[in-house]
Amino acid sequence: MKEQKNKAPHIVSISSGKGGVGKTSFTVNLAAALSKKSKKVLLIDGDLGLANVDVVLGLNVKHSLREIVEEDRDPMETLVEIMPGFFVLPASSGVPEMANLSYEEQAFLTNSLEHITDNFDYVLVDTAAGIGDSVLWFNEWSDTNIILLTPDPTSMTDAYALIKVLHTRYEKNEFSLIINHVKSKKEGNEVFANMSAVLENFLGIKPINRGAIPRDSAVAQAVRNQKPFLIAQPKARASLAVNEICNKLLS
Amino acid sequence: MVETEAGKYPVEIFKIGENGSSQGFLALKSTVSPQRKTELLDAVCPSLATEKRNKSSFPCLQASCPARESLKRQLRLELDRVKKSRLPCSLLLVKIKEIKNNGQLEGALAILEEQAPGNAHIARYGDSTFSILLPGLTIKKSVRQAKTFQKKLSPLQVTVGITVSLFKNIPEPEAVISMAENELKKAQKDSSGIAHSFQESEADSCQVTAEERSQLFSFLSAGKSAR
Repeated sequence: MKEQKNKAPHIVSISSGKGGVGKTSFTVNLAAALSKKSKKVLLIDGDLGLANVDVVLGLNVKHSLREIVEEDRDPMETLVEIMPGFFVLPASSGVPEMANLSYEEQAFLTNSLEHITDNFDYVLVDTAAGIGDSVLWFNEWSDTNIILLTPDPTSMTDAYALIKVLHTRYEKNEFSLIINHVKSKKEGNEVFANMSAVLENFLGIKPINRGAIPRDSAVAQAVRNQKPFLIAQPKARASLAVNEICNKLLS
Repeated sequence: MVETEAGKYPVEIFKIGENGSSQGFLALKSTVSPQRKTELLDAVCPSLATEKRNKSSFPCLQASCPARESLKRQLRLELDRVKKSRLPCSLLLVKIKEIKNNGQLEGALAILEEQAPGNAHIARYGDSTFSILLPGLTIKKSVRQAKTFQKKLSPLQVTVGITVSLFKNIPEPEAVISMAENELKKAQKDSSGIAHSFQESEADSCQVTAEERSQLFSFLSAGKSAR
């Protein structure tokens, strides 16, 4: 981790609008997939007040983003290595102050993160649900904005609302959609086509179809075992789908 | 270097030393009253206090006055943050009329400090005018904040000029101050005592409309009717 890379990292935010659509599980597995392709990946738990990445990975976290903000701790010393090339910057859970960072704290955190990201090829940010300050701010910071949604109408509405806010206030125009929990590829394509039509019609945005992830019992099992399903069950349908998305991202 | 760094904060910096040599610096918050400032300077460096006493200690609304320069430095810092964080920043010029003495002015300042958010930068900007920088505040919240100031300072007559800077087309600090000054002039003629230079509220334009929802769900309705 000491070597310095000259190339700027690719920063990818993963958001959803609605909670419980599988953001954290997907992000953890995407990070694992990227690292298996010899990429250096940093996963930032962007849900600053209700962190979950550590839970999904079964980590015993000693330090988190909270210490970076409150105690000026070196971010490099806060990283946890999950597997070769895959590092996590954990956040804290049950700390309302972290969910509502002040203006100055946000600016400070941005500077601190920019200080470490140059060491990586990819920086993935698993943001909080909703359209709070930290969600908008991490999305603004990112090069690629992935929006994860399910075929559920509430998920679709919230994903659309998030995109609308990012487009209207932050002039973001490029969004990648991933449809999670689909019954079939056909259902994934239908949801994408519908979202795409509404986005184009009302906002003039043409989203990128990054793929769909099927409903798979391997996902729930992996979460219970606190291991990425891509590692525990590499042949599972969800693992294959995440690998496909990873390849699309790399290409 | 110390003076440059101090310029980033709402403080007034004094060189302490004899015969032109600098032996140290004293940084005082720009909200410290002139009387208290003189007392502190007297205690730390009596010769400097005498020099200070001979000059006018009240900042003014002139282009070259220290308060304006200090505000410009602070604004520059905040506008850089606006650019980076894309959060808005609001500048309020609060003029309090009928102030009869320094004690009353200090009392008003204490109320402003109590009512303003924790990250606000408050400084004297004229005989009875204060500049208040409110990072992260939109126009709606700024107007609400201005009304709170008026209510809490009542029965004193308070007029407030507001300007909000957004990340799109960030103006120069000088332009932001001029806008706020113009609004303060307008506010003095307005019955509400508040005027602002920001016309559009982008907050509402993000709301998902009925038409958008309808089209979002049309796919689901089509699926149901096909079954």
